[in-house]
Order: sequence, then C-alpha cells, then structure tokens
Amino acid sequence: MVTTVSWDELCRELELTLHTSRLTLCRRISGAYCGDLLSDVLAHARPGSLWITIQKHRNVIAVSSLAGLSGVIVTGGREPNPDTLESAEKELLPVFSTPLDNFTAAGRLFGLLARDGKT
Amino acid sequence: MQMQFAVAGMDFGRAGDATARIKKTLQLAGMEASTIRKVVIVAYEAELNIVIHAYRGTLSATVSPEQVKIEAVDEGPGINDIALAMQEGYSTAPPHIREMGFGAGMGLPNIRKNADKLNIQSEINHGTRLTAVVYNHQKLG
Repeated sequence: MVTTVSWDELCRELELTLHTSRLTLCRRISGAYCGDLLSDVLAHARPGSLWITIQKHRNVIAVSSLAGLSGVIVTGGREPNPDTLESAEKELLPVFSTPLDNFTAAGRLFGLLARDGKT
Repeated sequence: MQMQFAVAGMDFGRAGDATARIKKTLQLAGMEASTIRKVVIVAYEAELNIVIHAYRGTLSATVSPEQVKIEAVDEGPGINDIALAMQEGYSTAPPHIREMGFGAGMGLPNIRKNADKLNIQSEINHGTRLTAVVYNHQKLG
C-alpha cells in the first residue's frame, strides 16, 4: 500500500529542492529509510522507500535502483554530484536536497507517513 | 543460463552495473521477488568487494529454476583471515572509501545472511573466489 503524501507536500514539509526533472516523480512513496551506509540500506530499506542520507555520490543511485526505492533526499544542504543526477535521470529516480539534517528530515517525514500508518 | 561480467578495481563509476544486469535478467525470467532481493544483496556486496579491495575480477551468475549461483573471482591481495572478515564491523577499507558509505564491514555478513550456501577461498597476494547459492523458494499454488 502506498501513502497519500504527495510529492508537492513532501517538498514543502521537508524544504526540498528537486534536482532531477519532474519526469522522475513517477513512483509512489510507501515508506522511508534513513542511513549513510550503503550496505545497510540495501539490506534493510523496503521497496518504495524514500532514502534520507548525507551521501551524494552516484553509487547512491545504483543502490536505490537495486533496492527499488522511490527517491533520494540528500541532507545538510549538500548538493548531489552531477554524475549522480545523470544516473538518476536514466533510472527515473528523483533526487532532492534539503538544508535539514538527517534527524530533522526523518522526523518530519515520519510525521507525514504516520498520518497514513506507513511508519 | 550463465552470465559473466568483468569488474575493475576502484571503478566506482560502474560499481553495481553487473548486479543490475543480473537483477534485470532474473526479473525477466520471472523469478520470485524474495529470491531476487537476496541475489541482489549477495551479488552487489560481492561486486563491491572486487571494486574496493581487488585489482580486477569477474562476477558471474548461473541461473536455474531452483537456484541462483553467484561467483566472484578476483585478482587481488586476498583475505588474510576469513573468519575475521566475516565478523560484522571488521573492514580493511581505507578512510576515503568509508566516507562514501562503503567498507563498514557489512559486506560479507550481508552475503552470509542472504545466501543459502557460501564458500570463500582466498590466497594472499593472489586473489579470492567467493561462491554463494540462493535457492529459489517458489510460492505454492
């Protein structure tokens, strides 16, 4: 089951900037996972999850795609690398940045998803 | 059906490509989603071990309706103490690799958790051969 949280609502609440084209907003959000170790995310994030992380290099896209995630939120005001965005466009995976840190971004997203019982 | 891919040491730009090809093939073959998930974890960790630790190697998948066998063979420094390398948190990866979120000592433990059979043979200053099998547990009915 997916959440009723829309991408626009998500962008507003988490102060997100979308770095990929709007075409990448084609997946449904069904949960979230927060972590900076790629092996941990691959092993534990459920398909459809949004990934909150400080990592901004292109291997994040490879892991997201392999795990079937719905998007990536890079925290702490970090700018995703250009080759990360190039890979993300190919995979049709949205990549956002936010000035919020991992804890605050995860807290706000938890609040949104809790509304639908997706936590 | 068998697939084999060359994997280059330190080529982080293509890291995960071989696993992505294996995943696609398993999806097209209609394999169980839970089997694919396990194979993806095993293959990606094995592929990244070559990228991070070896000079070069190959990642191969042998697919049948009953199981998927993943083999990662590399030319590299080898593993000095396999039992130690299997412990979660143990890693010989350098700091700049760890900063990327790799080398946290989760790779081999993740492979062990997701594989039904695992064999690792290694020779110092020569290389490592990892063989892992994931059974395809088909849903009844």
